Amino acid sequence: MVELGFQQADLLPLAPEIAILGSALLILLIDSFSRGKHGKAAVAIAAASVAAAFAASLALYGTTAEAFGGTFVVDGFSLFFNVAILLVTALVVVSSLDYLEEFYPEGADELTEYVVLLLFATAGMMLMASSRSLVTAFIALELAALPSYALVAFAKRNRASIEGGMKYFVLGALSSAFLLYGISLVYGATGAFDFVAIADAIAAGDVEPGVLSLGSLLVLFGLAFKVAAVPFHVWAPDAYTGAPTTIAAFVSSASKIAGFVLLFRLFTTAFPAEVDWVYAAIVLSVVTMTYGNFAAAVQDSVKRMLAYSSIAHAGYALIAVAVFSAEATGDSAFALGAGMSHLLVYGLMNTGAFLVVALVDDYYGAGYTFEDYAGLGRKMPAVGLAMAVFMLSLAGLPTGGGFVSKLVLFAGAVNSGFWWLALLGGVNSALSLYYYTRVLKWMWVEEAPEDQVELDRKPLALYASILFAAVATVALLFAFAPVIETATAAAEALLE
Amino acid sequence: MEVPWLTLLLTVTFAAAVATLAVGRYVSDERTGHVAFALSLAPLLLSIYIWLMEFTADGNALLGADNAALQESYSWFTFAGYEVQYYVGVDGISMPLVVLTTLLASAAIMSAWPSITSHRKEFYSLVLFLEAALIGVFVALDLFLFFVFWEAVLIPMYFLIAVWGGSDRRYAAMKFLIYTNPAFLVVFVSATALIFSADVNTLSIVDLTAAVHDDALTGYFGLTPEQLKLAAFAGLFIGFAVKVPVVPFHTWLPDAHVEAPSPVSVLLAGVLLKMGTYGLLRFNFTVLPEAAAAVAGLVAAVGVVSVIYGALLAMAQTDLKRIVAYSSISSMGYVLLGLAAYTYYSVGGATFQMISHGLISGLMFMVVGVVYHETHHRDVRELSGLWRQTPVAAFIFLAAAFAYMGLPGMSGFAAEAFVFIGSAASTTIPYAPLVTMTAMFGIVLVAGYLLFALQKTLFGELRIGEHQTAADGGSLDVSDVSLAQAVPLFALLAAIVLLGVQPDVVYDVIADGTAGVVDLVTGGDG
Amino acid sequence: MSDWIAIAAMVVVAGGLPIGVVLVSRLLRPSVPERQKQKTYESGEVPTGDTRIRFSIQYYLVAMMFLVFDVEVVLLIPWAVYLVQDPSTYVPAFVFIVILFIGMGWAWRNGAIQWIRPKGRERVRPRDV
Repeated sequence: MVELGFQQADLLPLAPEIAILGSALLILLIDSFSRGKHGKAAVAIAAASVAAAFAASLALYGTTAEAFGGTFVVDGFSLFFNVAILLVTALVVVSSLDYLEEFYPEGADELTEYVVLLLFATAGMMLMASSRSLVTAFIALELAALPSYALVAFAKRNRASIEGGMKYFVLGALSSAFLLYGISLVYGATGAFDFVAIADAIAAGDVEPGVLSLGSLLVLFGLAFKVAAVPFHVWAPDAYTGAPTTIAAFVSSASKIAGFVLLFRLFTTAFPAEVDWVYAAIVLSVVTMTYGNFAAAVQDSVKRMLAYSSIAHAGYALIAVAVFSAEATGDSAFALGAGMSHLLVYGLMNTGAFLVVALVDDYYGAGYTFEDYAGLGRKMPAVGLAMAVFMLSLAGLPTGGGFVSKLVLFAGAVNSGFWWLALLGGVNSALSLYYYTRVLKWMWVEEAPEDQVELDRKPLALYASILFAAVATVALLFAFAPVIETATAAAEALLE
Repeated sequence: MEVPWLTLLLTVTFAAAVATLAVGRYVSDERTGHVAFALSLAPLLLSIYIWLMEFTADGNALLGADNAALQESYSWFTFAGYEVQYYVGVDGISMPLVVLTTLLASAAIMSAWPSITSHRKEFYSLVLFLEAALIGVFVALDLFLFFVFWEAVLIPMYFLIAVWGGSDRRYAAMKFLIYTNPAFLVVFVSATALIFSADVNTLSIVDLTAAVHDDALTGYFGLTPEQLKLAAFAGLFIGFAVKVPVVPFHTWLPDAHVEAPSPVSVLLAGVLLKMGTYGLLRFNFTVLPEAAAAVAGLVAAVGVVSVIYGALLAMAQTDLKRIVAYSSISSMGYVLLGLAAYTYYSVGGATFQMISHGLISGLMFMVVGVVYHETHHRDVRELSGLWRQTPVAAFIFLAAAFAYMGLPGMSGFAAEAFVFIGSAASTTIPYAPLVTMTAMFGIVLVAGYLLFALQKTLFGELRIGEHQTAADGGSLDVSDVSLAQAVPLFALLAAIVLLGVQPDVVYDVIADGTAGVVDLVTGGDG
Repeated sequence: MSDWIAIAAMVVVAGGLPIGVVLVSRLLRPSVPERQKQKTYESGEVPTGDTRIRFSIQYYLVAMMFLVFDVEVVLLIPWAVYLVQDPSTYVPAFVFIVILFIGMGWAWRNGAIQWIRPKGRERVRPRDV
């Protein structure tokens, strides 16, 4: 008889995911009775559950467990990414408290739906980190993606929001099709969904190489959509720009991180390096970071610039994919660990930067172009300073963990013989200084115009989120040891 | 209990920066500069105290684990089996540079009192941040820590130029970033490639040096250890050359100098350029002596080209700041020549030249700043006869120019003399005497452009722009150097004369640090 | 190779059969053109307007909920007829149903299955078409 019952051992390692999903159901239950009256309570419950899941992820660290017949694994790798995703979710959930009614006043009483969708997406992303089977990975990915589509289009009366949501949905569906077709080909070639079983089948040499190559390439492309790698990025700028800015922060950070988790696990565990996708990853990485940076440099809107900058960062993270897979003589766990650390730091910096845009652009209504930021640094020094930290850290200057993580990532490339990829990344990163410092130039160098909007209100939750992200970014410069060491250990365990 | 002196110095400087920002809210705007200056005295006095009382090193920091004085190391993080440390220490090369930094920072802050009138507390705070980062560059003995401070320098510098600079400041600040940041990444890639092929388990530069010298290199992806050394040398050289700057990587410098406010130019020319030559000395010429000796002729040639080309460019300028900026390129060429020559005198002299040029160019930019602040002109064609109106400023200008030209009794003479004596006897540079003589020709050119500038601006009839006095004399509404302004000017001048008359005070310390570098190539008979 | 011949033959037959049927019937049947034959539905139902109209969003809500419970049945039938012998499967099945009911309850309370605009909250009213 097939064993389908829940075992205690199955459930405990999934405590973080269960906490998130449980609180989402609880909020739905409460909302069923009170119908939209308890938006603030919903945020509180969500924040508490995120904190609980965070604590559970930390507490679970060190355990390695399989659940549901090996389709889920909980290991250092998945817990590391749980932490990274939950950090982003926490910032977004808290800041939504102030943000939503400003950006979308009619939606203020829909805060519960908003929070529930966020929680479902978060749970999906966390499950992506734990999936070790193509089927569960796909389901988790859809669980993450479907609420995200709805969230991007959350401002129902805002054309840009709907347009962004539509593009995201259509192209997301297309990418799912890619992914599914790839999965079916991989299954056809290897006869397995489980990552380990796929690797075993390939190692046994009993597969049709063409079908497997095509399948793994399609899977790579499907995931490249999710992480917005060029040329699969076309949805991203519009979706990020149109979406409520907190959601743009969420999708461009957490969703990208989750896409990379799956990429990392799939391509370390399931597909050995002989398959041609290594070259595809290198090309993707180079094209993505170059295009992202050049496109970001010519934007007029800060939010759109950040959208392209997040594409460029996908390119940097893809360096890790290209490098660990190449299995050169270097220590490939190092490159992978560096990529993981960079994603965690990136999540904080990028979310923080988007939240500053949320504050300036949507909350105060100061405007979306670079010019509209003129003199804001002096008017609100704490936020200006936080933005300086985010921008310079994203550009790879030592105001935050971004400096260390980016250099360690490049060092990982050098370590595996890809010194030219590191140099290319370096040139790109220098180029990115142009547009990142442009924000700071307007915020700090230029004087504010006479007719600038009054910044009279102080949105406490949004401020708190921004400052937390800034402090955490700076702190990661000094306390980088736990991040990189945890990541490297997790990567080593994964690559064994 | 051991006092962590260097950490204390860094902390005090950093705290001074934060304190300036904090105190600046409570004191009047004019007083902010005074407060910042008072705070900047703390690192200055502390660094002098460290040098006089605590500093005991008598070797090169990289050539032996115990050679650096006041070492401190704490683990920071580990990656790929390499331990990154907070690892600091000073030796005869870095100690004088640290004091140069603190001295020039205090002088720059004082000289900024009249000219910086907006956002004062941010300005002084950023200068102090810059000072902290610069000290960090010179005391770091861990590769990664060195990189952190190296890049940290860019941040205050960007804002100092972009906010308080001249009319084209945004362009200049951006150009500064876009030039120096990729250069850093070239350095980073070269250095990490070296690290990964060396048999080390920390990122300590000391360990790296030992591993490279013991030939504990495995080669790097198709490169043999020998090829790797050459490739790394090339990468490091290009990266540091941008910072020095060496022709043809120099074009960011004049823009940055002209647009930066004068107090910032003081630090830019006085200390920031030394980061490049310091990096060259530490990495290219100490870690990779074989490669350096192999291409010494080429490096010396690049140095001589910088000397001559920089001087020729300076001759073509009429803006006082541009003249000094290009002459800095020229002066840094001597450092390159001295390093490539690999003799005791030349390498010691090159390091001495870093200190000397730091003081002289700092003084020069300060006095140009005074002139500009008073007259609102920097173009030599617009100025004439300042001697009558501002004798003190004119005197300092004259003195600084003569120091630049290498007047005996001033530090410039001593530095250039050391370099030339050493390089003429070089065994690594082909045709060493000929190369040296070509470089010496640069001094003639310096005299050419500086005497021209002096003669135009200081002597003749008093004229400032459109304003001209009557033929029988009289005066214009321009005041001379105030007492507060005179203090840093004369302090620097005193230091220049002291080093000119008694170079041993610093040179002996430097020679302790540089002798070991020379021995790497010459085997002890440099 | 010989395996493939059978498949090729099947492709030929599969393709040829419908073509042949259409051709043969066209040859045999009398041709009586009439306007009614060009109507969309042979049943005589007269189409009213275009298919490309905006449906009320409520159709989709109902359809989605139908889909959810349709799939639920697919998953629960094997449990009900076979796995029910194992008591340890009660809990997951129960949890599954509870989760669905929470969602159903929430949707109900928010008026998703009420056809006319609910009083009070204006959440799911048909969009102003």
